[in-house]
Amino acid sequence: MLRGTVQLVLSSAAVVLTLALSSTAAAADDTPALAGLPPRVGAVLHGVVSAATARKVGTAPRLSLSIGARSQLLSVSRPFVLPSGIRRPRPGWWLTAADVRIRLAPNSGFGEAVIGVGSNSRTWAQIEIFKRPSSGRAVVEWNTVDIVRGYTVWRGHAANLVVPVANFPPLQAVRSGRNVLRLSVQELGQIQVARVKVSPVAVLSTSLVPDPLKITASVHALGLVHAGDVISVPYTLRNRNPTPLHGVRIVVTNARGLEARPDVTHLESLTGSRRGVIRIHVKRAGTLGFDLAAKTDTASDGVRVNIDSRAALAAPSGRNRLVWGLGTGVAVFLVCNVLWLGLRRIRRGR
Amino acid sequence: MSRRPLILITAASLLLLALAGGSAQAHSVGNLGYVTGSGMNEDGVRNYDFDTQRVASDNVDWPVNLIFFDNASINTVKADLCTHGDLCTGGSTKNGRMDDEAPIASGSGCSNWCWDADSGSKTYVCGTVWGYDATDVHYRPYSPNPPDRMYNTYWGFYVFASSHWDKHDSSLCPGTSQYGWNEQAEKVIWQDWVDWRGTGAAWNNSPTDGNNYQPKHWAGDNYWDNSGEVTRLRVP
Repeated sequence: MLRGTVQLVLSSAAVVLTLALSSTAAAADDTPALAGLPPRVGAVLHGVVSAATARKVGTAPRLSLSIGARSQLLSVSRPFVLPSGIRRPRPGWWLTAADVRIRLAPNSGFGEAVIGVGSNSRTWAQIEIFKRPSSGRAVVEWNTVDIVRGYTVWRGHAANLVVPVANFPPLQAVRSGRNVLRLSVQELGQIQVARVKVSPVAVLSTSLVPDPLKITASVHALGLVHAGDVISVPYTLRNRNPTPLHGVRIVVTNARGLEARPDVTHLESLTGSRRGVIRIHVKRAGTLGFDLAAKTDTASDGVRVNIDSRAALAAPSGRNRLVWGLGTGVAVFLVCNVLWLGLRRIRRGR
Repeated sequence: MSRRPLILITAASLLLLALAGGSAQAHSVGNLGYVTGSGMNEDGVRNYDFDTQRVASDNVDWPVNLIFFDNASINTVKADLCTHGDLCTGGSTKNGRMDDEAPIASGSGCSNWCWDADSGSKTYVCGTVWGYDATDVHYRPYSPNPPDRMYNTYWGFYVFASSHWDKHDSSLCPGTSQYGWNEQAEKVIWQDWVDWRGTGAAWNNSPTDGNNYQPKHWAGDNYWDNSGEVTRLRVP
């Protein structure tokens, strides 16, 4: 039942951004970096850029696509120029934002449309629109995924939608000098999009990073445990870079029925490898499973976290051994009884 | 011989089997782990899909060997491969496991590992693939559901998938059912993508490592062959 070494390598990792979103468009205008942005996306970005330094580095032009006849995939591109010599801030990233206006055709059927906005062949905004029947009416549901707001869903009946999009774009999506903005529309089923308009796209540089480190290793179905068991599971945290990693937090999550604590929960600095132990007090009988995560606000490459579940299996608690021994004994006893009864009946039959 | 002893012995055998807890469906591998490398950033993906929603090296189905990226979602990938690769027929449902850090605000995301079940799509059952009769190509794409796609600043919007061949997988083409040929299934889908979108949108390697190399070998009715390289297919 015990599993082998659980290992996870993530080059740089991820994202714990708590973003306060402003509810008023007026507030957005107070931030110089957001001046001139359409109100909806301005409101979305306000909370982000007010929490960090932000600077508008340029604007991509408006883009629109009219779709006359049904087509499975349509796209339009337009070049734009950003100031030469701009560089991604370090630490920090680019932010791109725009309002996307979508009009469904009056005679549109049911189906799904996927609208993508990106630059330099890297998509950073994707809107899914579903038109479905519901209680005799047509319902339109649309959603976006990004690292600013996460997964956001809207629902309504209107044929005209305004969707604010904002995201940390892929690295190559913003370049010094010439760039190419692209809008694509893909229709699945009988849905018909009549027109899509993208407002001027704001390109911002910010001190926020989309991928502060968060690496996770999971142990699932490690073994059967009983209430009262005390188990030690070794782990290793390894920084493969020569530069130290600062402010590392070590947390155990998803531990059901367990009280699991790493020996250390905060490291000022991590260079090379560090071995540690997670002490687990079992509160409720069941299958042992948990996740170990290491987090830091510094973006970094080449960090590895390792849980050696074999070591935990090699030394089950005395109570576990007793339970397994009893279980096996009862099973063998039952099987022998059945066989013995069978043989007796065979003899009697003769 | 009387029937009773036979019944009793059968019952005892069944009891032993139940105690052993055996499973005839799932496969067993020695390199269950994660898809790793420079493309994964903050996200995590298990390098095999699973027969049931239980992470265990004796419960895997097939290796993850495809990644659709840039502007991908489960629905667009399925629509594209149905239209341009004849991969339109449903199969049996398996389970992918992943961790996407993008959806953080709504509370419905998958920032601490989650499952996605998908039956995937296959070519015509009992069709012909590369001259082999009674064969179909079957892939299963996975992503947190909702939102049916993952996002990071390396891949953009992406989904990952396992792939394999099925042989004689229906009573319509009787014969010994066999499964596997993962590398060949990957190549068929790569070729479909090249034929449609051109060589600029399909690469049969990746900076992301599947860590799921399987040398060519038979294990029961399954023929394993997987390079461990993840094929990249760009959705524009």
